[in-house]
Amino acid sequence: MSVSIHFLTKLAFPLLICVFALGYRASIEEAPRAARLFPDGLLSILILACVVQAARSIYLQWSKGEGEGPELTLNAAQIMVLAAMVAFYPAVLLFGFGLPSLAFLFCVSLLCGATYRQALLVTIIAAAALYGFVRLSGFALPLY
Amino acid sequence: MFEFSNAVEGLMLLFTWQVMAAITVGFLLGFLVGAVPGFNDSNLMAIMLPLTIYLDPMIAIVGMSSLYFAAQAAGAIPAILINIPGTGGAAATTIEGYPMAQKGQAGYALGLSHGASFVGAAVGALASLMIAPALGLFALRFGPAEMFLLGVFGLTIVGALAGKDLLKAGIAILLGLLVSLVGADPSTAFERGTFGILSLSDGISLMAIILGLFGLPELIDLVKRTSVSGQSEVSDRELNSNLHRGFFDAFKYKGALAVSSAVGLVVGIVPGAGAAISSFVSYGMAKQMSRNPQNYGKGEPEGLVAAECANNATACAAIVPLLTLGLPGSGSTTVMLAALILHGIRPGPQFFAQFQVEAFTIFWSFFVSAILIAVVGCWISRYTRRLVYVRGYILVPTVLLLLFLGAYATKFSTFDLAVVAAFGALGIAMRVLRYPIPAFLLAFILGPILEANYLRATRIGGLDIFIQSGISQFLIVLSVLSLVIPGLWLLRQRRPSLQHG
Repeated sequence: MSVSIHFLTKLAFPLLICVFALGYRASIEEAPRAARLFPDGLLSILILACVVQAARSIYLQWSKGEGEGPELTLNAAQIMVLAAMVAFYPAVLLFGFGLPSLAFLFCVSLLCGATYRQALLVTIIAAAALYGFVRLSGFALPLY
Repeated sequence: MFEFSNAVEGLMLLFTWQVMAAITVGFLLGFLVGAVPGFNDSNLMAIMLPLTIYLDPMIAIVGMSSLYFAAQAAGAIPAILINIPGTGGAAATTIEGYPMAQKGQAGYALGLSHGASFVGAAVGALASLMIAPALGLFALRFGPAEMFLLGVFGLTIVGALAGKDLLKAGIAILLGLLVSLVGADPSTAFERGTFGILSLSDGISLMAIILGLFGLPELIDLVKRTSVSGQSEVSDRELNSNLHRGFFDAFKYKGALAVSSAVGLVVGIVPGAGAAISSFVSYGMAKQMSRNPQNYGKGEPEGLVAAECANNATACAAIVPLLTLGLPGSGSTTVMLAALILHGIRPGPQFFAQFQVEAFTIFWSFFVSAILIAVVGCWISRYTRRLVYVRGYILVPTVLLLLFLGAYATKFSTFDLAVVAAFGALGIAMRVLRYPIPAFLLAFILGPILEANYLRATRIGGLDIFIQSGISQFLIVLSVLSLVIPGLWLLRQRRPSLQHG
């Protein structure tokens, strides 16, 4: 029996939530009672639910072979777009909105199947619209 | 106390140019973007939300509700033309709409759907106007314990209906509640769950979460396809000649319209049930009552009328529990709740007492939206249908960039760009692994209210206070039932398949 990426993702998700919950619990250990009362109860139930969910995923994998299906189907283009989104924040911090926005538009357009010419056209039109909007409305967008 | 003069004042407020402009612009945007398959109504509303930030709250809310109705009506366009429902409520429309389009009656089917949508929206608006004041007055009896239990009931309903898996829904809800409590505690200023990140001290931006959870997964899904639709366009001649004929022919199906409106209203007022349920139920009832049930599934106009009328009536009625009890019953009404909160309006028992004139204006605006569906909808369908064939490489990058700018514009914080990306990744994971996203969002919105009311109630009367009043007991029973009934239903569904296996 092979262990698929889908199964690992199914298992990893509740475990990651568990890690978040444990970190959260550590952050409120020294909090006053009023600040701790409500989240404390939630954390206990959440950790329990995540453990049960992870155990259930393992049980289904071993007993019925569930989780081997091709449900997790992010293709290369989608992963690249996700990477572009993640890179957008540090790029804006470094260069402002102007240049990263242009690069983002061009790259994502290409990843969505545009030719170089089409991607360039989309970028120019969108950038002109954005620049016009910022100039006309006085919207405080640091372009560079 | 309900006063007739407030209803009149609300109507007068509707006729100010700003409100009328907001309704019209909201309607046009909703109709244009609602026709693009791949965007469901809640995602569309989430993406449009940043545009309303700088508007007056009243104008913004009226515009958003107009956008919501327009998206419901426009959802039928891709459902009929390419067999992809534009919104969840239009899923039943595909059953008869697409076969009609294949028979060369696309224009006629679009006309029928707009006629039925008009009737559904108008009946829904009238009923909402009459029911909401009574429900609003009743809701004034709610104290902190009742408010807490009402929130719990809302979470159980959305959790139970959002997914087949109650455990996953529970995890989504608990995670949403925890994330809502990140930041400085309001009573003690102690920082909870910030992990030392200074930008999280104020909590996580609701706008960034909405855009990340709803907008990004939808757009990432669109990246797969080079164009939103891969099919050929229908002829202009057929569309133009039959659209108006179809609109007026919809009124011939009086029985289907009456039954579907009633079903749509009842389903809409029940928090948690949505337009998809009402349209399928109405479609099924129309088929059972029909003299020609054998024609269903092959392009029967009556089935199309029933489905479209019901989903628009539900859309109107669903606003009633949202405004009076603060209970959204679907993804789109959850985003509407978020829109209200972003504008400083907290719907719930006090809403109708404090903002009676504004509430009436919102309900009156439903009538204007219904009229716009009839008048503008038919005209604009000729053009919006072209959006069905829009290219992914134009749509995805521009909307993605707008989404990031929208998140930034809320607080002018570049950190929110990272929040959008992070919650986008969470949204994609939740979608792939089938964790209900609306349940997470509702929990995020209700978290601070639940905590505040829980602490207030326990300070007043300990834990006993939660079972003292009749309303509390009723809400506890409802919450338990909302968890048990879907569980039993799922078990019943699984049993035959197990026996079959």
